[in-house]
Amino acid sequence: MAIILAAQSGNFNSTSTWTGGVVPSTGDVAVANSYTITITANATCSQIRNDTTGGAYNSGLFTINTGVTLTADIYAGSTTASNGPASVTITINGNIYGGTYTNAYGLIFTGSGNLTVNGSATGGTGNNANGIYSTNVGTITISGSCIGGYGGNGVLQNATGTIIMKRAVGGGYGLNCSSLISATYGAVNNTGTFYVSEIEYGPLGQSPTSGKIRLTDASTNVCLFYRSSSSKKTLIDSSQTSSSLPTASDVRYGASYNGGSSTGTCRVPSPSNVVYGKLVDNTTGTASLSPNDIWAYQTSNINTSGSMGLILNNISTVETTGKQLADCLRGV
Amino acid sequence: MATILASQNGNFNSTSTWTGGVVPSTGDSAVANGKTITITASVTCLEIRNDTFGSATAGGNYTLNGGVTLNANLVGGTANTALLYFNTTSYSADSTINAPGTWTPNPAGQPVISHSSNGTLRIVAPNIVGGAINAQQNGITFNGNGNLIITGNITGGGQTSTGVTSSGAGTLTITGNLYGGLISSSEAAVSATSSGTVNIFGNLYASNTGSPNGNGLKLDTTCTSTVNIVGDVVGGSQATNEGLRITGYSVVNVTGNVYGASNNTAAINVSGGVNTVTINGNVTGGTNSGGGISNSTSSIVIVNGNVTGGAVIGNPNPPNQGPGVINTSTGTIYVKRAIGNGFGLGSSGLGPSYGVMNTGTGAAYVQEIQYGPLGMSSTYGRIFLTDLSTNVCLFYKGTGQKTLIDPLSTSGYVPVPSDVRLGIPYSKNSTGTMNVPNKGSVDYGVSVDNTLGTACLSPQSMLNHGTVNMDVSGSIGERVKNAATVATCGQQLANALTDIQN
Repeated sequence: MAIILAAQSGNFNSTSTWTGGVVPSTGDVAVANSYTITITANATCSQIRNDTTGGAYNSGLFTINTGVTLTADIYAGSTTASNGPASVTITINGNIYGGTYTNAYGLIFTGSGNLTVNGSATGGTGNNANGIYSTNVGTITISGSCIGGYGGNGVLQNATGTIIMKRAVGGGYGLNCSSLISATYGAVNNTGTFYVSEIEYGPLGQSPTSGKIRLTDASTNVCLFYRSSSSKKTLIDSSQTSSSLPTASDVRYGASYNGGSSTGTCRVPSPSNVVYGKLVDNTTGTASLSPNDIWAYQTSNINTSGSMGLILNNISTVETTGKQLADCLRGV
Repeated sequence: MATILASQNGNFNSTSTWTGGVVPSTGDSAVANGKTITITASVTCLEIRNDTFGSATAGGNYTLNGGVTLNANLVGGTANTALLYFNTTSYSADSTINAPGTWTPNPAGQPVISHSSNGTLRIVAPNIVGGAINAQQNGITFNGNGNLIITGNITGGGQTSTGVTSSGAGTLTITGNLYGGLISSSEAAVSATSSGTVNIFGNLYASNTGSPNGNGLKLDTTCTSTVNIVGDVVGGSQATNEGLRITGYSVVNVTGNVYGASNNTAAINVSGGVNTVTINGNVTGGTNSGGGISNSTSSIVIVNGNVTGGAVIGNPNPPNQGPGVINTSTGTIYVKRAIGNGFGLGSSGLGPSYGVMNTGTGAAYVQEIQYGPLGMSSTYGRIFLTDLSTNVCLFYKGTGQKTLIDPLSTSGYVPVPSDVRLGIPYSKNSTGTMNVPNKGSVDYGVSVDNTLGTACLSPQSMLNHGTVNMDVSGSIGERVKNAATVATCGQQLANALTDIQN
């Protein structure tokens, strides 16, 4: 793991480009040292940067040619660290950071190309030192978060292209924040089309997005706020909620939930229909019987249709049968 | 229909008060002619005035006693005195003025009516206006401790001349709309400068023509009033005009909607003092830099409704154009829902506008946020969440909407624990608390859970059970079922006799 400064402008993979004649590789930090480095083939290192790391001169630029996959974090110094020339298709496996001076972007992407960032983009400390600044009319896809920095936004779109990101995060600006911190956004869309899956307000309340933003619909969509108590609260997709909802058979009959798409089926009797003292709903049963209750009810319903009382009502007795026989014999 | 001049000071209804010995009546014009006239009983005439009409001497005035009704138009005519005073201290009953015609302000310096009483004066007039030329030509000056109750619209004048100025501790109640002054150097329809209560049942409109004070209602720096408005507040098209300007120390409650305008001033501008302003309605930003509500003080603004960015024209830079609500200082804003405007891909002629902007050092709280239909962000600057189970975040997808919710929400998504079976864990941290007894503890035939109760807990259920099971094998019912009845015995005997006889 070495810090390797450029010795002259040239190709990233050329030994003559680098002090010591060693092309930066896995684990190394490549510093532009005021030179322009062109990356024409896939490259892997820990970082590329154009600040004074390792005693380098500020500035310099990494130009990433089309078809290249760069696996490295990108750090801007006092000027923009890297760019994608017009209409290139490139992939960055790493995080991108804006720099320390005004308009010192981590990456400026122009033309009509396509950029894939498997990482995050964070604004720098310089004013408008965005992590990614786009004047691109193609598509930029960022798998990670775009985070407002002290002075720059995570990503800013100034063309009609499309940017798709996972999460937009507001910066640290807010009440009692450092005077060095400005109001910055994770995603600023002036003229293009933005899609986010998640938004997160800053810890001191800074809004995560500026301009027009659409949602990439996913069950993992979230919106994270801070309460004034500094604690977080996350709003989630209702489908996530529904996955942990109780089944209808465990929910009171008729109770609507899950946005109206579910209704409870569990019937709960009234306390008067439940054995005295047994738990029911949020109370206890009150049903009880006395011999008199039973006797009085049976007596008052003696002729209820189908009841034994009704059947017995006209039953023959010794007396009635005897009378019938007597009447019959008299008739004979 | 005559013009009758007063000949001496005296009672309106006294013949000796008037030239010619005739008391003005229906259709007559009563002219003060420099005299002081007291109205002690109800009067009806065309108008009362104190100008030079009918070759009278300008000046003089009228004093309205308590419990009296005056049916007459009011025509101010001098810079030296109000036309009519309501200053009784021996208040007995309400007095009323019905003035159906054109309200004519004094030419300078004095109001048409001066109310300094602890009594109640009711005025019914279609449109009370302030003067246009000189200062303090108020339509009405109210500095009493009593009540002033107005039915009718009020329009501001110019040069600090309001339609109505309330500078006392009494209660001003208006049923009608308030319109900021229409002329250049315009003044508010109503100005409150003291501690009295103001109740308005009508809309407040900023002037679309005059400036700089063409407010519907202006609460001045010394105002400590409680103000209740049932109606909308609407901004105007002229710079510095607001539907409602608040610069004092008031408590303001608006039950209605707020609409921003096409100028650089908000419909409601809280620009001075420390106030508490509550809106029970929705707020919409304007089409220019003026928002729906602007708070540049340490005041508190509460909106119990939706706050939407305005239909801003063009593509403004910087983006703080036409917000629903903007906080630019140390104040605090509480909003139910912040909504971005209609700006976005495919919108035409529209610039971005946020529902809530906080560019000051104060705090802004929202319960809900909603991106605009074409994706416009709903908030700008520092925003905190007012923590509620009803919190939502609404986005637009390529097609359709999507609402993110509180995982503990009870707003239609998650049942309350009391509706969920005891001990059932669900939705993160919730557990059901609803006891469901087993069927053996529930009365026979009563629904429980997904079945029916089997317990015999009521006389009725015993009877029902006995009836339903009447024929069960081995039961008494089975035996009794075929018992002989009087009828069957009789039939059998009859059959037997028939057989014998045959």
